[in-house]
Amino acid sequence: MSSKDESIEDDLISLAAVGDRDARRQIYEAFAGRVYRTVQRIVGESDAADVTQDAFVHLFDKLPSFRHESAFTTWLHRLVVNEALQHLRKQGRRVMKTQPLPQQVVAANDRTSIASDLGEMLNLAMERIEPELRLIFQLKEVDKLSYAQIGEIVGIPEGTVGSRLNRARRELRDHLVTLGWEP
Amino acid sequence: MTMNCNTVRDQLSAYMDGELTDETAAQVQQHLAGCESCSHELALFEQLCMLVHAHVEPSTQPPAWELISQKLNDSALAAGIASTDLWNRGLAPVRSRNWKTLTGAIVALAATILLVANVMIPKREDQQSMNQASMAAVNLQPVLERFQGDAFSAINALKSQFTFQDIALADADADFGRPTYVSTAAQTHTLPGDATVASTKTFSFAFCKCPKGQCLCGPGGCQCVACVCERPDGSTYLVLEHCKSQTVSFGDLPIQLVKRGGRDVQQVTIDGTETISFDRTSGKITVVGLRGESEIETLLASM
Repeated sequence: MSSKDESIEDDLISLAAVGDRDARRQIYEAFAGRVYRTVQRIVGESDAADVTQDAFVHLFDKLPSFRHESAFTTWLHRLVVNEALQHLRKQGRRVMKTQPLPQQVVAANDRTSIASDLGEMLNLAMERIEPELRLIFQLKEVDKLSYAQIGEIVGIPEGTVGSRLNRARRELRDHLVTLGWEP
Repeated sequence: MTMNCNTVRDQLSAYMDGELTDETAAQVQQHLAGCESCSHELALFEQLCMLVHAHVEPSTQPPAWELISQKLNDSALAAGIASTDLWNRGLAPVRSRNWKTLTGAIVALAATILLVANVMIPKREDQQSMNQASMAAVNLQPVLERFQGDAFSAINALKSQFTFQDIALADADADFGRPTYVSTAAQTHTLPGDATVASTKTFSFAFCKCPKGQCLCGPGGCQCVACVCERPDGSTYLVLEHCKSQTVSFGDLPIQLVKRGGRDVQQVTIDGTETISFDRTSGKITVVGLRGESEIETLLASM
Protein backbone atom coordinates (compact mmCIF):
# COMPACT_ATOMS: atom_id res chain seq x y z
CA MET A 1 0.00 0.00 0.00
CA SER A 2 2.91 2.28 0.40
CA SER A 3 2.98 3.18 -3.30
CA LYS A 4 -0.53 4.58 -2.97
CA ASP A 5 0.49 6.44 0.12
CA GLU A 6 1.79 9.46 -1.68
CA SER A 7 -0.63 9.29 -4.57
CA ILE A 8 -4.10 9.74 -3.16
CA GLU A 9 -5.14 13.30 -3.82
CA ASP A 10 -5.99 15.61 -0.94
CA ASP A 11 -8.74 17.08 -3.10
CA LEU A 12 -10.23 13.65 -3.58
CA ILE A 13 -10.25 13.03 0.16
CA SER A 14 -11.81 16.44 0.82
CA LEU A 15 -14.53 15.85 -1.75
CA ALA A 16 -15.24 12.36 -0.42
CA ALA A 17 -15.45 13.77 3.10
CA VAL A 18 -18.28 16.09 2.09
CA GLY A 19 -20.18 13.29 0.36
CA ASP A 20 -19.07 13.55 -3.26
CA ARG A 21 -20.07 10.16 -4.66
CA ASP A 22 -17.61 10.20 -7.51
CA ALA A 23 -14.69 10.93 -5.18
CA ARG A 24 -15.83 8.16 -2.86
CA ARG A 25 -16.07 5.80 -5.76
CA GLN A 26 -12.55 6.66 -6.88
CA ILE A 27 -11.17 6.03 -3.41
CA TYR A 28 -13.10 2.78 -3.21
CA GLU A 29 -11.81 1.59 -6.55
CA ALA A 30 -8.24 2.50 -5.64
CA PHE A 31 -8.26 0.58 -2.36
CA ALA A 32 -11.06 -2.02 -2.48
CA GLY A 33 -8.82 -4.87 -3.61
CA ARG A 34 -6.23 -4.31 -0.92
CA VAL A 35 -8.80 -3.73 1.80
CA TYR A 36 -10.72 -6.83 0.78
CA ARG A 37 -7.55 -8.92 0.87
CA THR A 38 -6.66 -7.63 4.34
CA VAL A 39 -10.16 -8.28 5.64
CA GLN A 40 -10.25 -11.70 4.00
CA ARG A 41 -7.05 -12.72 5.79
CA ILE A 42 -8.42 -11.63 9.17
CA VAL A 43 -12.05 -12.76 9.13
CA GLY A 44 -12.00 -15.46 6.45
CA GLU A 45 -13.58 -15.56 3.02
CA SER A 46 -17.21 -16.09 4.02
CA ASP A 47 -17.49 -12.79 5.96
CA ALA A 48 -14.97 -10.76 3.97
CA ALA A 49 -17.44 -9.07 1.60
CA ASP A 50 -19.77 -7.91 4.39
CA VAL A 51 -16.93 -6.66 6.58
CA THR A 52 -15.35 -4.85 3.62
CA GLN A 53 -18.63 -3.08 2.92
CA ASP A 54 -19.03 -2.09 6.57
CA ALA A 55 -15.43 -0.92 6.71
CA PHE A 56 -15.88 1.41 3.73
CA VAL A 57 -19.18 2.79 5.04
CA HIS A 58 -17.42 3.44 8.35
CA LEU A 59 -14.45 4.94 6.54
CA PHE A 60 -16.54 7.44 4.58
CA ASP A 61 -18.45 8.26 7.74
CA LYS A 62 -15.20 9.01 9.58
CA LEU A 63 -13.45 10.73 6.68
CA PRO A 64 -14.26 14.29 7.88
CA SER A 65 -12.21 13.51 11.00
CA PHE A 66 -9.11 12.55 8.97
CA ARG A 67 -6.53 15.18 9.96
CA HIS A 68 -3.58 14.14 7.79
CA GLU A 69 -1.58 13.37 10.93
CA SER A 70 -0.68 10.03 9.37
CA ALA A 71 -0.61 8.86 5.78
CA PHE A 72 -4.09 8.25 4.38
CA THR A 73 -3.37 4.59 3.72
CA THR A 74 -2.12 4.05 7.26
CA TRP A 75 -5.26 5.70 8.61
CA LEU A 76 -7.42 3.63 6.25
CA HIS A 77 -5.61 0.43 7.16
CA ARG A 78 -5.98 1.05 10.90
CA LEU A 79 -9.70 1.63 10.48
CA VAL A 80 -10.14 -1.47 8.34
CA VAL A 81 -8.14 -3.67 10.70
CA ASN A 82 -10.15 -2.40 13.68
CA GLU A 83 -13.38 -3.11 11.81
CA ALA A 84 -12.24 -6.66 11.03
CA LEU A 85 -11.01 -7.35 14.57
CA GLN A 86 -14.23 -5.94 15.99
CA HIS A 87 -16.13 -8.31 13.74
CA LEU A 88 -14.12 -11.21 15.17
CA ARG A 89 -14.84 -10.09 18.71
CA LYS A 90 -18.55 -9.89 17.91
CA GLN A 91 -18.38 -13.38 16.52
CA GLY A 92 -16.79 -14.44 19.82
CA ARG A 93 -14.33 -16.76 18.23
CA ARG A 94 -10.63 -17.13 17.81
CA VAL A 95 -11.25 -17.55 14.12
CA MET A 96 -10.29 -20.60 12.20
CA LYS A 97 -7.62 -21.81 14.54
CA THR A 98 -9.90 -24.55 15.81
CA GLN A 99 -10.83 -25.87 12.39
CA PRO A 100 -9.77 -29.48 11.90
CA LEU A 101 -7.07 -30.42 9.48
CA PRO A 102 -8.44 -31.52 6.12
CA GLN A 103 -8.23 -35.19 5.34
CA GLN A 104 -6.61 -34.70 1.94
CA VAL A 105 -3.22 -33.57 3.21
CA VAL A 106 -0.89 -33.63 0.27
CA ALA A 107 1.43 -36.57 0.11
CA ALA A 108 4.94 -35.43 0.81
CA ASN A 109 6.43 -37.54 -1.97
CA ASP A 110 4.04 -36.29 -4.67
CA ARG A 111 5.91 -33.27 -6.03
CA THR A 112 3.31 -32.49 -8.72
CA SER A 113 0.45 -32.42 -6.25
CA ILE A 114 2.47 -30.35 -3.84
CA ALA A 115 3.32 -27.81 -6.49
CA SER A 116 -0.26 -27.44 -7.69
CA ASP A 117 -1.61 -27.17 -4.15
CA LEU A 118 0.95 -24.82 -2.65
CA GLY A 119 -1.54 -21.95 -2.62
CA GLU A 120 -4.11 -24.07 -0.82
CA MET A 121 -1.48 -25.30 1.63
CA LEU A 122 -0.46 -21.74 2.36
CA ASN A 123 -4.08 -20.75 2.99
CA LEU A 124 -4.52 -23.67 5.37
CA ALA A 125 -1.33 -22.83 7.20
CA MET A 126 -2.32 -19.17 7.43
CA GLU A 127 -5.65 -20.15 8.93
CA ARG A 128 -3.89 -22.10 11.66
CA ILE A 129 -1.89 -19.27 13.17
CA GLU A 130 -3.20 -16.67 15.60
CA PRO A 131 -5.27 -13.92 13.89
CA GLU A 132 -2.96 -11.23 15.32
CA LEU A 133 0.11 -12.98 13.91
CA ARG A 134 -1.63 -13.52 10.58
CA LEU A 135 -2.56 -9.84 10.42
CA ILE A 136 1.00 -8.66 11.07
CA PHE A 137 2.39 -11.17 8.59
CA GLN A 138 -0.12 -10.01 5.98
CA LEU A 139 0.65 -6.32 6.55
CA LYS A 140 4.33 -7.07 6.02
CA GLU A 141 4.35 -9.64 3.23
CA VAL A 142 1.28 -8.69 1.25
CA ASP A 143 0.86 -4.98 1.86
CA LYS A 144 4.62 -4.33 2.12
CA LEU A 145 4.30 -1.99 5.07
CA SER A 146 7.23 -0.97 7.25
CA TYR A 147 7.51 -2.00 10.89
CA ALA A 148 6.70 1.59 11.87
CA GLN A 149 3.48 1.56 9.84
CA ILE A 150 2.47 -1.87 11.12
CA GLY A 151 3.16 -0.77 14.69
CA GLU A 152 0.97 2.29 14.21
CA ILE A 153 -1.88 0.26 12.72
CA VAL A 154 -1.83 -2.54 15.25
CA GLY A 155 -0.82 -0.38 18.22
CA ILE A 156 2.42 -2.12 19.22
CA PRO A 157 6.07 -0.99 19.32
CA GLU A 158 8.25 -1.60 16.26
CA GLY A 159 10.38 -4.10 18.17
CA THR A 160 7.30 -6.14 18.95
CA VAL A 161 6.42 -6.19 15.26
CA GLY A 162 9.73 -7.96 14.60
CA SER A 163 9.30 -10.53 17.36
CA ARG A 164 5.72 -11.30 16.26
CA LEU A 165 6.86 -11.68 12.68
CA ASN A 166 9.45 -14.18 13.91
CA ARG A 167 6.68 -16.15 15.60
CA ALA A 168 4.38 -15.90 12.59
CA ARG A 169 7.06 -17.11 10.20
CA ARG A 170 8.14 -20.01 12.40
CA GLU A 171 4.57 -21.15 13.02
CA LEU A 172 3.71 -20.86 9.33
CA ARG A 173 6.81 -22.81 8.38
CA ASP A 174 5.94 -25.57 10.87
CA HIS A 175 2.32 -25.81 9.65
CA LEU A 176 3.45 -25.88 6.03
CA VAL A 177 5.92 -28.68 6.71
CA THR A 178 3.16 -30.63 8.45
CA LEU A 179 1.00 -30.15 5.37
CA GLY A 180 3.71 -31.54 3.12
CA TRP A 181 5.74 -28.49 2.11
CA GLU A 182 9.33 -29.34 1.29
CA PRO A 183 11.36 -26.13 1.35
CA MET B 1 30.32 -7.35 19.92
CA THR B 2 29.56 -10.97 19.06
CA MET B 3 25.95 -12.11 19.01
CA ASN B 4 24.79 -15.53 20.14
CA CYS B 5 22.15 -17.65 18.39
CA ASN B 6 19.27 -16.54 20.61
CA THR B 7 19.96 -12.86 20.02
CA VAL B 8 20.29 -13.38 16.28
CA ARG B 9 17.08 -15.37 16.02
CA ASP B 10 15.22 -12.59 17.84
CA GLN B 11 16.45 -10.21 15.15
CA LEU B 12 16.07 -12.51 12.17
CA SER B 13 12.86 -11.05 10.72
CA ALA B 14 14.03 -7.49 11.24
CA TYR B 15 17.32 -8.42 9.54
CA MET B 16 15.58 -9.98 6.55
CA ASP B 17 13.15 -7.05 6.25
CA GLY B 18 15.92 -4.45 6.35
CA GLU B 19 14.65 -2.92 9.58
CA LEU B 20 17.90 -3.06 11.57
CA THR B 21 20.50 -0.32 11.90
CA ASP B 22 23.62 -0.85 9.79
CA GLU B 23 25.64 -1.68 12.88
CA THR B 24 23.23 -4.32 14.19
CA ALA B 25 22.71 -5.77 10.72
CA ALA B 26 26.48 -6.16 10.37
CA GLN B 27 26.64 -8.04 13.68
CA VAL B 28 23.84 -10.37 12.60
CA GLN B 29 25.54 -10.92 9.26
CA GLN B 30 28.81 -11.74 10.99
CA HIS B 31 27.07 -14.37 13.12
CA LEU B 32 25.23 -15.86 10.15
CA ALA B 33 28.50 -16.30 8.27
CA GLY B 34 29.68 -18.76 10.91
CA CYS B 35 26.40 -20.36 12.07
CA GLU B 36 24.79 -22.99 9.88
CA SER B 37 21.72 -23.32 12.11
CA CYS B 38 20.78 -19.62 12.03
CA SER B 39 21.58 -19.39 8.30
CA HIS B 40 19.23 -22.33 7.69
CA GLU B 41 16.46 -20.57 9.62
CA LEU B 42 16.96 -17.41 7.57
CA ALA B 43 16.85 -19.42 4.35
CA LEU B 44 13.51 -20.94 5.43
CA PHE B 45 12.12 -17.47 6.15
CA GLU B 46 13.19 -16.35 2.67
CA GLN B 47 11.60 -19.39 1.00
CA LEU B 48 8.41 -18.75 2.93
CA CYS B 49 8.36 -15.18 1.61
CA MET B 50 8.78 -16.42 -1.96
CA LEU B 51 5.93 -18.88 -1.46
CA VAL B 52 3.64 -16.13 -0.14
CA HIS B 53 4.49 -13.75 -2.96
CA ALA B 54 3.74 -16.43 -5.53
CA HIS B 55 0.28 -17.12 -4.05
CA VAL B 56 -0.74 -13.77 -2.69
CA GLU B 57 -3.79 -12.91 -4.76
CA PRO B 58 -7.20 -14.00 -3.47
CA SER B 59 -9.39 -15.89 -5.89
CA THR B 60 -12.43 -13.70 -5.29
CA GLN B 61 -13.18 -10.06 -6.04
CA PRO B 62 -14.10 -7.29 -3.59
CA PRO B 63 -17.76 -6.27 -3.45
CA ALA B 64 -19.04 -4.00 -6.22
CA TRP B 65 -19.11 -0.25 -5.58
CA GLU B 66 -22.89 -0.23 -6.04
CA LEU B 67 -23.30 -2.27 -2.84
CA ILE B 68 -21.27 0.24 -0.85
CA SER B 69 -23.16 3.12 -2.45
CA GLN B 70 -26.47 1.57 -1.42
CA LYS B 71 -25.24 1.11 2.14
CA LEU B 72 -24.13 4.74 2.24
CA ASN B 73 -27.64 5.79 1.18
CA ASP B 74 -29.18 3.59 3.86
CA SER B 75 -26.75 4.98 6.43
CA ALA B 76 -27.63 8.58 5.53
CA LEU B 77 -31.33 7.82 5.80
CA ALA B 78 -30.85 6.12 9.18
CA ALA B 79 -29.00 9.20 10.40
CA GLY B 80 -32.02 11.31 9.45
CA ILE B 81 -34.34 9.10 11.50
CA ALA B 82 -31.97 9.17 14.47
CA SER B 83 -32.01 12.96 14.50
CA THR B 84 -35.81 12.82 14.61
CA ASP B 85 -35.60 10.73 17.76
CA LEU B 86 -33.45 13.42 19.37
CA TRP B 87 -36.01 16.01 18.36
CA ASN B 88 -38.70 14.01 20.11
CA ARG B 89 -36.71 13.87 23.31
CA GLY B 90 -35.98 17.60 23.19
CA LEU B 91 -39.65 18.47 23.08
CA ALA B 92 -40.46 16.67 26.35
CA PRO B 93 -40.48 19.50 29.00
CA VAL B 94 -43.87 21.19 29.66
CA ARG B 95 -44.78 24.12 31.96
CA SER B 96 -47.57 22.76 34.15
CA ARG B 97 -49.56 19.69 34.98
CA ASN B 98 -52.72 21.23 33.37
CA TRP B 99 -50.98 21.75 30.10
CA LYS B 100 -49.38 18.38 30.10
CA THR B 101 -52.10 16.45 28.32
CA LEU B 102 -52.81 19.09 25.67
CA THR B 103 -49.14 19.84 25.15
CA GLY B 104 -48.41 16.16 24.96
CA ALA B 105 -50.98 15.80 22.19
CA ILE B 106 -49.52 18.79 20.32
CA VAL B 107 -46.03 17.44 20.79
CA ALA B 108 -47.12 14.04 19.53
CA LEU B 109 -48.70 15.63 16.47
CA ALA B 110 -45.66 17.85 15.89
CA ALA B 111 -43.35 14.91 16.36
CA THR B 112 -45.34 12.91 13.85
CA ILE B 113 -45.09 15.75 11.34
CA LEU B 114 -41.39 16.10 12.06
CA LEU B 115 -40.91 12.39 11.76
CA VAL B 116 -42.48 12.37 8.32
CA ALA B 117 -40.73 15.59 7.29
CA ASN B 118 -37.39 14.56 8.63
CA VAL B 119 -37.45 11.25 6.84
CA MET B 120 -38.37 13.03 3.63
CA ILE B 121 -36.06 16.05 3.87
CA PRO B 122 -32.75 14.20 4.10
CA LYS B 123 -33.73 12.22 1.05
CA ARG B 124 -34.35 15.42 -0.92
CA GLU B 125 -31.15 17.03 0.39
CA ASP B 126 -29.20 13.90 -0.33
CA GLN B 127 -30.63 13.79 -3.84
CA GLN B 128 -29.84 17.49 -4.35
CA SER B 129 -26.31 16.99 -3.06
CA MET B 130 -25.86 13.99 -5.34
CA ASN B 131 -27.18 15.95 -8.30
CA GLN B 132 -24.81 18.83 -7.59
CA ALA B 133 -21.88 16.48 -7.15
CA SER B 134 -22.88 14.74 -10.35
CA MET B 135 -23.16 18.04 -12.22
CA ALA B 136 -19.75 19.12 -10.90
CA ALA B 137 -18.12 15.86 -11.98
CA VAL B 138 -17.16 15.78 -15.63
CA ASN B 139 -17.59 12.16 -16.69
CA LEU B 140 -14.94 11.50 -19.31
CA GLN B 141 -15.70 7.81 -19.84
CA PRO B 142 -17.70 8.50 -23.04
CA VAL B 143 -14.88 10.76 -24.27
CA LEU B 144 -12.26 8.07 -23.74
CA GLU B 145 -14.44 5.37 -25.28
CA ARG B 146 -15.06 7.45 -28.39
CA PHE B 147 -11.45 8.55 -28.70
CA GLN B 148 -9.99 5.55 -30.58
CA GLY B 149 -7.14 7.72 -31.85
CA ASP B 150 -9.37 10.58 -32.99
CA ALA B 151 -9.71 13.58 -30.65
CA PHE B 152 -12.19 15.26 -33.00
CA SER B 153 -14.55 12.34 -32.52
CA ALA B 154 -13.94 12.23 -28.76
CA ILE B 155 -14.82 15.86 -28.30
CA ASN B 156 -18.30 15.16 -29.67
CA ALA B 157 -19.03 13.28 -26.45
CA LEU B 158 -18.57 16.54 -24.56
CA LYS B 159 -20.75 18.43 -27.01
CA SER B 160 -23.68 16.28 -25.96
CA GLN B 161 -23.15 17.18 -22.28
CA PHE B 162 -22.33 20.89 -22.31
CA THR B 163 -23.02 24.03 -24.32
CA PHE B 164 -19.96 25.04 -26.32
CA GLN B 165 -18.53 27.44 -28.84
CA ASP B 166 -15.70 27.23 -31.36
CA ILE B 167 -13.16 29.88 -30.58
CA ALA B 168 -9.62 31.01 -31.44
CA LEU B 169 -7.05 30.00 -28.85
CA ALA B 170 -6.11 33.64 -28.14
CA ASP B 171 -9.78 34.45 -27.53
CA ALA B 172 -10.08 31.39 -25.29
CA ASP B 173 -7.21 32.75 -23.20
CA ALA B 174 -9.04 36.06 -22.89
CA ASP B 175 -12.34 34.40 -22.00
CA PHE B 176 -10.63 32.04 -19.60
CA GLY B 177 -9.02 34.99 -17.82
CA ARG B 178 -5.46 33.65 -18.01
CA PRO B 179 -3.14 31.95 -20.53
CA THR B 180 -4.08 28.31 -20.98
CA TYR B 181 -1.45 25.57 -20.82
CA VAL B 182 -1.92 24.78 -24.51
CA SER B 183 -1.47 28.39 -25.51
CA THR B 184 1.77 28.66 -23.53
CA ALA B 185 3.11 25.30 -24.71
CA ALA B 186 2.23 26.02 -28.34
CA GLN B 187 4.21 29.26 -28.22
CA THR B 188 7.23 27.52 -26.72
CA HIS B 189 6.86 24.45 -28.97
CA THR B 190 6.70 22.14 -25.97
CA LEU B 191 3.41 20.36 -26.69
CA PRO B 192 3.88 16.56 -26.42
CA GLY B 193 4.60 14.81 -29.71
CA ASP B 194 5.64 18.09 -31.38
CA ALA B 195 1.95 18.76 -31.86
CA THR B 196 0.25 21.96 -32.95
CA VAL B 197 -3.19 23.21 -31.99
CA ALA B 198 -5.82 22.08 -34.50
CA SER B 199 -9.03 23.18 -32.84
CA THR B 200 -10.20 25.02 -29.71
CA LYS B 201 -13.60 25.05 -28.05
CA THR B 202 -14.94 26.35 -24.77
CA PHE B 203 -17.54 24.35 -22.86
CA SER B 204 -19.73 26.00 -20.22
CA PHE B 205 -20.40 24.15 -16.99
CA ALA B 206 -23.83 24.51 -15.42
CA PHE B 207 -22.55 24.19 -11.88
CA CYS B 208 -19.37 25.35 -10.17
CA LYS B 209 -18.20 24.38 -6.68
CA CYS B 210 -15.73 27.25 -6.34
CA PRO B 211 -16.49 29.75 -3.55
CA LYS B 212 -18.49 32.66 -4.95
CA GLY B 213 -16.27 35.03 -6.91
CA GLN B 214 -13.24 32.73 -6.74
CA CYS B 215 -13.70 30.66 -9.90
CA LEU B 216 -10.63 31.00 -12.11
CA CYS B 217 -12.41 30.01 -15.29
CA GLY B 218 -13.34 33.41 -16.58
CA PRO B 219 -15.84 36.10 -15.69
CA GLY B 220 -18.53 34.55 -17.86
CA GLY B 221 -18.94 31.51 -15.60
CA CYS B 222 -17.21 28.20 -15.12
CA GLN B 223 -15.69 27.08 -18.39
CA CYS B 224 -13.51 24.36 -19.84
CA VAL B 225 -11.09 25.04 -22.65
CA ALA B 226 -10.78 21.99 -24.93
CA CYS B 227 -8.00 21.85 -27.51
CA VAL B 228 -7.41 19.19 -30.13
CA CYS B 229 -3.66 18.92 -30.71
CA GLU B 230 -2.33 17.32 -33.88
CA ARG B 231 1.01 15.54 -34.21
CA PRO B 232 3.07 15.77 -37.43
CA ASP B 233 1.76 12.32 -38.45
CA GLY B 234 -1.83 13.57 -38.29
CA SER B 235 -2.77 11.75 -35.08
CA THR B 236 -4.45 13.79 -32.37
CA TYR B 237 -4.96 14.10 -28.64
CA LEU B 238 -7.28 16.20 -26.53
CA VAL B 239 -6.35 18.69 -23.79
CA LEU B 240 -9.02 19.84 -21.32
CA GLU B 241 -8.36 22.64 -18.88
CA HIS B 242 -10.72 23.97 -16.23
CA CYS B 243 -10.91 24.97 -12.58
CA LYS B 244 -10.18 22.51 -9.78
CA SER B 245 -13.75 22.55 -8.52
CA GLN B 246 -14.83 20.50 -11.52
CA THR B 247 -14.07 16.93 -10.55
CA VAL B 248 -13.00 14.64 -13.36
CA SER B 249 -14.55 11.19 -13.38
CA PHE B 250 -13.70 8.23 -15.59
CA GLY B 251 -16.87 6.29 -14.86
CA ASP B 252 -16.23 2.57 -14.72
CA LEU B 253 -12.80 2.71 -16.34
CA PRO B 254 -9.89 1.47 -14.19
CA ILE B 255 -7.90 4.37 -12.78
CA GLN B 256 -4.39 4.39 -11.39
CA LEU B 257 -3.51 7.04 -8.84
CA VAL B 258 0.21 7.65 -9.26
CA LYS B 259 2.86 10.15 -8.27
CA ARG B 260 4.60 11.58 -11.32
CA GLY B 261 6.89 14.57 -11.52
CA GLY B 262 5.90 15.55 -8.00
CA ARG B 263 2.23 15.59 -8.91
CA ASP B 264 -0.71 13.38 -7.94
CA VAL B 265 -1.90 12.02 -11.26
CA GLN B 266 -4.95 9.99 -12.25
CA GLN B 267 -3.99 7.76 -15.15
CA VAL B 268 -6.20 5.62 -17.37
CA THR B 269 -4.85 3.32 -20.04
CA ILE B 270 -7.32 2.37 -22.76
CA ASP B 271 -6.71 0.94 -26.23
CA GLY B 272 -2.98 1.54 -25.85
CA THR B 273 -3.28 5.27 -25.21
CA GLU B 274 -2.85 7.15 -21.97
CA THR B 275 -5.16 9.63 -20.34
CA ILE B 276 -3.88 11.61 -17.39
CA SER B 277 -5.51 14.18 -15.14
CA PHE B 278 -3.87 16.32 -12.49
CA ASP B 279 -4.06 19.63 -10.67
CA ARG B 280 -1.75 22.55 -11.25
CA THR B 281 -1.76 25.82 -9.33
CA SER B 282 -4.25 27.50 -11.62
CA GLY B 283 -6.59 24.62 -12.36
CA LYS B 284 -7.02 21.03 -13.48
CA ILE B 285 -5.66 19.56 -16.71
CA THR B 286 -6.75 16.35 -18.40
CA VAL B 287 -5.11 15.04 -21.55
CA VAL B 288 -6.75 12.23 -23.50
CA GLY B 289 -4.79 10.11 -25.98
CA LEU B 290 -1.13 10.52 -25.12
CA ARG B 291 1.29 8.03 -26.62
CA GLY B 292 3.41 6.35 -23.99
CA GLU B 293 5.67 7.53 -21.27
CA SER B 294 7.70 10.04 -23.27
CA GLU B 295 4.68 12.22 -24.08
CA ILE B 296 3.50 12.06 -20.47
CA GLU B 297 6.94 13.12 -19.30
CA THR B 298 7.04 15.96 -21.84
CA LEU B 299 3.66 17.19 -20.68
CA LEU B 300 4.49 17.10 -16.98
CA ALA B 301 7.91 18.65 -17.52
CA SER B 302 6.36 21.65 -19.26
CA MET B 303 4.03 22.49 -16.34
